[in-house]
Amino acid sequence: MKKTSQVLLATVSLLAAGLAQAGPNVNVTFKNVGTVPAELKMVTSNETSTYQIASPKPAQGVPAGGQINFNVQRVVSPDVNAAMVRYTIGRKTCAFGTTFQMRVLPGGIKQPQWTKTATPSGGATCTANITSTRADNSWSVEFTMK
Amino acid sequence: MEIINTFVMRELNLNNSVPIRRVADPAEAEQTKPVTAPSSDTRSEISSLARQLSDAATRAASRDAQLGRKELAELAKTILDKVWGGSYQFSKSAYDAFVPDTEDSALLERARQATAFLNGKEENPFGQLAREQLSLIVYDEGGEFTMNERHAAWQELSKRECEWTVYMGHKISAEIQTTGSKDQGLYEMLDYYRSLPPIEQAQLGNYEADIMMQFSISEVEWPEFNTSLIDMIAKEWEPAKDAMANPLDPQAEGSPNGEPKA
Repeated sequence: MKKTSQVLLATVSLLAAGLAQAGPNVNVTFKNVGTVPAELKMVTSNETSTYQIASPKPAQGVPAGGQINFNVQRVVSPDVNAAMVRYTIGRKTCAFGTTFQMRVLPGGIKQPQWTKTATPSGGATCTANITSTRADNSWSVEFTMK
Repeated sequence: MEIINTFVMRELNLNNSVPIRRVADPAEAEQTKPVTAPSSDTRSEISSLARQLSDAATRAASRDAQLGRKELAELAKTILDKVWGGSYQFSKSAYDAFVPDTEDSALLERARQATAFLNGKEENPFGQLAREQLSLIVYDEGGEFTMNERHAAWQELSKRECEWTVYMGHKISAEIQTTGSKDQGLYEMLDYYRSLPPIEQAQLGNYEADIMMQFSISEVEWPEFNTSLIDMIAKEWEPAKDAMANPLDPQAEGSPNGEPKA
């Protein structure tokens, strides 16, 4: 490979590295407040990708009264991040989600926006609460299920 | 396996102790307290458990040598469904009533204690075991342990696993906040996962690759960025823009009740 091409590729790689900035970290706590173990299920690609990049990985089984913690930080843009996780207890299911997006308002003003969702089915009781947000836009969220 | 051997050797030494001559340290002698020999029941209990664990370790080694990671993961899924999943919950009353077919009082007592623990009445009989020993009990299919014993072992194993995730999760979160990186935490995660028994590692999928992709230096190795300038120019960007329009909708791939679209 010619030297010129090598320099060109190296430059592109450096530019590309600049594009691959991580979004703000989300620290997720899941609590099983039920009376039997909760089982991790991955149904959507968002849930699968959350599991792949979670650190540490969410436990497959969370005993009754137990809790787990993990972080998710996607390398898509510094202005977005999201974590989705689903646990089941028998026929009860809770699909949890939390997102961050830096909204750009008219006039170019940037406004951080955090969301959380807890979608129950099968008679489950699910809650999602954003417990803290920080200046670097990282945030903590707590999901519970019973 | 090493833990099991240590455990077994310690037990063997109880019965075949070798006298060792040692000059007493006066300071230490003052603190010396009388030692009570283990009762015969305790010795019997240690013997039974040590033998069971040793047998389970042999079976685990054979299983791990025969099966690949994918097969181990499938086996683990089946086993865990029996040990704590839907199958276990369905048959719990039968497991509670089950009494092992043995005259070994230690085995009978431990099986009883496991059932009592699972019904909130006593301590977990496996609460003091090492992590590797708990794993042997949970995944052993040799019939050495009752289902309630395996469930009790899983309870202790998963309790420790959950505690580790809380420790590790908060540590990584703090590292990101202070350094902007999580590399140290990722190294610790990698070490931890590599230390797990093969059947537990198998359940984590390709965790090495998942973790490696997250190291700071590896960002330039992401396939979408590992391309030539010509490829980048030729690449169709519009579909990606469309996908980015609303990338964070938790329901994007599912119906309102969380089920995936057909």
